[in-house]
Amino acid sequence: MPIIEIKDLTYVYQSGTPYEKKALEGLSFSIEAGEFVGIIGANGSGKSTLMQHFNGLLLPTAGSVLVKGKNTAVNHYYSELWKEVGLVFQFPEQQIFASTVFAEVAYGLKNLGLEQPDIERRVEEVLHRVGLNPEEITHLSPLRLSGGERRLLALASIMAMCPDVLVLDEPTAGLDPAASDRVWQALQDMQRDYKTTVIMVSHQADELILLANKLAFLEEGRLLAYGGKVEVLQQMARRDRDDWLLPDHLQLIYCLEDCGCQVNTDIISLEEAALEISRILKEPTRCKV
Amino acid sequence: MAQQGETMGRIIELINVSKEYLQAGDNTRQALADINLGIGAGELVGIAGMNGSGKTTLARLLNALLLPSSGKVLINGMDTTEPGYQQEIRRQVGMVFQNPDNQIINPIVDEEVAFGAENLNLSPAEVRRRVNWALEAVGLSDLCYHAPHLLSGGQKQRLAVAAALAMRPECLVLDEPTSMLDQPGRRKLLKCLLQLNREHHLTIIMISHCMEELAVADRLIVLHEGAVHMDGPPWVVFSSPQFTALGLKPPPIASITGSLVRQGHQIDKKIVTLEQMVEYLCP
Repeated sequence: MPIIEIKDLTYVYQSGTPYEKKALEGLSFSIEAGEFVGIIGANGSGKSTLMQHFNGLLLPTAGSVLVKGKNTAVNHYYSELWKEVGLVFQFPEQQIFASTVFAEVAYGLKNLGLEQPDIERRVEEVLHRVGLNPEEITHLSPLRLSGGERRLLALASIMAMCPDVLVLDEPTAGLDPAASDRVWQALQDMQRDYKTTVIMVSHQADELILLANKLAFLEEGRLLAYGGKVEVLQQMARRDRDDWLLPDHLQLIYCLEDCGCQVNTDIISLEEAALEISRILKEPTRCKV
Repeated sequence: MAQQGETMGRIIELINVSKEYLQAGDNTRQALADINLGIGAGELVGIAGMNGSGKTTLARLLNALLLPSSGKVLINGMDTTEPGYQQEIRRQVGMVFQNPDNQIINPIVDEEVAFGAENLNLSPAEVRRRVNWALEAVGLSDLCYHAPHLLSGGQKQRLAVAAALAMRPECLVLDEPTSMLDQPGRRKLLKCLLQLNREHHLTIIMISHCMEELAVADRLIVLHEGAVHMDGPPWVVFSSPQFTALGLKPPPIASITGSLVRQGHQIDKKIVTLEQMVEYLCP
């Protein structure tokens, strides 16, 4: 059984008023336990609206969202749903409220009913996991941390609860490369160690495409493509070039195809793209216009 | 690396600039340490660096939002610490921040663009001319009677640029203007900035974590721990081991160029953007 099943999901903001706005229309897809699904779409395509459906923050206007077979709108207890699905909003550091780093991470764990020694162990473990040093910072006020460290702390607080599904909305926006690498690494480790299902939106398309094992492509509230990475990327490349959401190295590959080169589009990573360009340079006949 | 900006007239000059922030207790934290920098009129300068390297502090020193703890910041020869110059400095150096919601204050696009220009004591006809020009330059003319909060993130960011442009600045400083935008939004903003730089000779200083964007600059400055660590054309900076040693990553196209050069291909090693690479491979 898939861990998440979306059936004909439609969501309308301010339904029945003059400000009515359809954000999602007729989405159907399912996610298996342990998968890493990357969600790609332009601003306003419905990504964040979709993300908030996974833990019942938003309920469908029509259609249904099933988490572990239970409908979020009908027979799901939120206390249970929120343990199963951890949601990390955009700029999660704005939600930090405790007076010390320890208390911030421990808050969710206390609510799960864990004993103090368990809590201490998990706090230490999760801070290591995101690359923060527990000895140095557990007693500090979160306000003493840098912006990047605060983001990692907010992520750690959710990760500590070991949700079955981790939903993240732009977790690396505004972080420098070192901090965003730590976020990507922590997510990979979580997935490996706990078989966590990860669903993620990111404008860092190159990283997302590399780590995800499935992609979903949204446009104006509709799911235009879902499934294997290469197929979804090829669908995305069929759009108008001004609206391309592909990372530069893939844009390059598809631009070459457009101008008549015989190019292999079965490519995901930067290294593969570099190899393909190298092959083209060795056989200039492949790019004769 | 040789200092650039020597040949052109200098619009911005930093002489031994340091900036310290007061912290809890009697501690201070040094954000910038002894910076010497000249930026020529008409240059498009990118600024990169890790969080905490001093990028935003540097940006805010350029229009007297912050004043140096020691040293001098000169804008067209005017010292930013002279209260008498500050109004003129802020007119000449326009600022666009990371989050446009923090700087948009009017209920209509048109009024937002006019606000700064009106405060310069210009005639209504001149304000009108400038507003039309600025909206045209960023491609928002069709949306002039819209409410800013109904615009997309990219449109809002271009609105913030238009509002700065209407004051006819000589220099525009943008602090991570695209971190909230998707790729099409980024591309449109960047295209608009490039056009302003090439056609209107606007000096542009752009801070970003996005190397694809910084690749289009004439000159790339890398800050590290409050000091200028690297300063040169983007292709030189991207291909230097010093750059990667800081934990920074060159943009994808520069990486591809680099790996092709290492494999012994005859390829122009200055290629760092998608357009340059496509142009090179299928002219």
